[in-house]
Amino acid sequence: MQPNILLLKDFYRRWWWAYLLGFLALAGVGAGYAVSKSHSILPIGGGAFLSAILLASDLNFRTNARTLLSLPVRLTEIGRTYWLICVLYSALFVTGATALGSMIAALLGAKHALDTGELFRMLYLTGAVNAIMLLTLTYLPHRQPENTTEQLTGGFAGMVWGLGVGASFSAPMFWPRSAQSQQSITGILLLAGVISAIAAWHRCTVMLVNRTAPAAGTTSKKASSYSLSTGGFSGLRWLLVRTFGQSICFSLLMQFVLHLTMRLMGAPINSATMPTLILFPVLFISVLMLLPNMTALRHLRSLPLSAKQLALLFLALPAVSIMGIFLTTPLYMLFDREFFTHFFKLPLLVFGIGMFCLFLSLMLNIGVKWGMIGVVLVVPVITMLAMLRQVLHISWDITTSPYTAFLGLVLLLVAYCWNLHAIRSRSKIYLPHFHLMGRNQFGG
Amino acid sequence: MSNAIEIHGLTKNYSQFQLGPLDLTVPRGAIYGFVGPNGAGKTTTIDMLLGMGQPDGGLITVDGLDHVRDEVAVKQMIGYVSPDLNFQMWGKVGNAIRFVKGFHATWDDRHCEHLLKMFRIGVDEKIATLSFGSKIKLALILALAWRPPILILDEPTVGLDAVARHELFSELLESVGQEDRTVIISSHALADVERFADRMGFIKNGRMLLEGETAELIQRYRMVDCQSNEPQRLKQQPGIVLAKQDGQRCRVLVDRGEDSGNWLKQFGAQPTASAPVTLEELFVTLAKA
Repeated sequence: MQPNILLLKDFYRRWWWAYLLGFLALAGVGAGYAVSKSHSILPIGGGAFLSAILLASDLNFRTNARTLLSLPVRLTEIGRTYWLICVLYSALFVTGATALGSMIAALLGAKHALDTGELFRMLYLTGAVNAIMLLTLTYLPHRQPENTTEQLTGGFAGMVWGLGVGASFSAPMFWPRSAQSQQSITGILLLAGVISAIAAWHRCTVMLVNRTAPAAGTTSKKASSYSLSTGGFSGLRWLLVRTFGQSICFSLLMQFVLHLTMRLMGAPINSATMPTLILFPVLFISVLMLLPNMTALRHLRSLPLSAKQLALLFLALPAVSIMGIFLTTPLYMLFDREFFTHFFKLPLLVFGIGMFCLFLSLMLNIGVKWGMIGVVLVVPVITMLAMLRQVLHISWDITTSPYTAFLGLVLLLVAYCWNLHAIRSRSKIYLPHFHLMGRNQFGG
Repeated sequence: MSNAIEIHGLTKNYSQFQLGPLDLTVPRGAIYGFVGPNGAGKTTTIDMLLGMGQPDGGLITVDGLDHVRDEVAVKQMIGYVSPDLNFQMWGKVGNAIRFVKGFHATWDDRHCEHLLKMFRIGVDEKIATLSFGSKIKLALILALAWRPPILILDEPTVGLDAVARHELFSELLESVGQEDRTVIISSHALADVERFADRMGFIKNGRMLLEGETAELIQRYRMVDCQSNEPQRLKQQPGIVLAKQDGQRCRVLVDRGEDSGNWLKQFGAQPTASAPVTLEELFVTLAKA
């Protein structure tokens, strides 16, 4: 199977910066492995970020799929070029970059360069995860479901996708220690990966065609209700209550899955893994809650809210969504005290809120791309710091220190001032970057 | 009649575009057509008014209130519609309504239901699956349902079919007639603007070229076919815009307010025909000039 060179060039030209950052991060991880020989840092799920997740970002703009289909290239050629990018090339890239980092560290005196067996295992496991994510992408809902089957398939795919994205961040941290557990997990992943790879090979054209289909519910829709419900909250109160409710639901689901996964894998819960475990739901839920709000900035700014109120809203929403995590956590104490003890770290939660608000400010002030890069990079950095603390026997625990909470508050203050500046003076943030049409089509 | 909106000396500099200095006056109760070619600065002007970016200079007042100092009070008077508004985060139509109604004490549920019926948008419909035209209709519903004293419509007819466009303008006319409402409509649908706007401003390259009563502006200009030995010199004269040239024969847009008739004679131009202009002819000729 020959990939289409023009499509390959186009994909890599647009995402070179993600690959560059990925390369640096992976080489760093490889070097880290050479120093610590810790399997828990190997980026098995990280490949998904350089494949299916990037492709999903591409295809989320409906017009991209339409443009691709209008090219004088066979549909199967387009689909399979993306299959190669997502499943094969990305796995090779991840393995290669990690190996290079490990080799350089070994040349500089580190003791544990990755051997061929470990590299091969990383290659096929990364490929397997990539294939599962690509197959999931082909089933992700792209319009309102027309029947129960579509609803169930879309819902299930959405759940797997969300968990897959989450696992890409944190799964390597919880890679089991025992050889038997490792073999079982490897076997399951490999089997699921092979099946997914074959299925995705056949479905990647469907993924493109489906995304060009018009949205349902246009002119020939059935009669709807026009009656408004009275009572209940409205305005900002409604938004905050809704955000809080959603964050509780997400948090319950996410903590349950994290807890279950770690128990099944026999993964360690300690001060090295906990920063990721705590920060991941904070970041993930906050991203889920808040990015859609950013797409509605133009609408929010046209409402009778002052710039200060809007800047505060962008602090209140993450705080409210993280309160959801905070409140659902004690539920797990009922059946797992150890989990609760490690999870319930208030200073780190405050820091998490501050950090996330600062990411939002970054997005507002210097662009979404850099904000997202910050989100992606900060979890490994904090994890590394926590691990170094363990390796170097430093007693200061960043998860419980009041300095961590103080730093979080400082970040909140900085984020507020920066938000205010962007809301008042950056007209760019009100452009419709995220939604279906471009302003330029219609003038102004 | 006092003015609903006054803009004086508004400037905003971007690396590739400069808005202004721009003056614009919208009398209370008027339907003001704000027209101009793509990239002229219409949306930028509206954005500055709504606080989406900081002007580099100038003064904007809405009903006598400063748009920065009194931004909340100003926005409590303005209903805003644009194809760039994104409501998808609210999920369903009913949620978007529930959110927006909380900001406006004058929100009228009955009127909202009437608008929902008229535009055939159900409260339980998912916003993500609405067609583009339906999303504009939703923006209109959210802006009209609280009967704002000032309505700003930035390209409201984009994506609307002829029936929906007719319904929109009928609704606008009705609401303006009943309630002393001011409407600014920035649109490329010039036929509609000509029919409904009683005042208009024509903006090009960030500058206001023309502003006045619609009927007066249309009456002020005529399209004249003439023969001239110096058509290039003709177009340099104030009040004359060369629309078309074929050798010595040319078609010029003549501003009757200026002393253009004399200019024509002075350059030896012999008028052969003269006709009134439509807003579209006026727009296209000025935009190309």
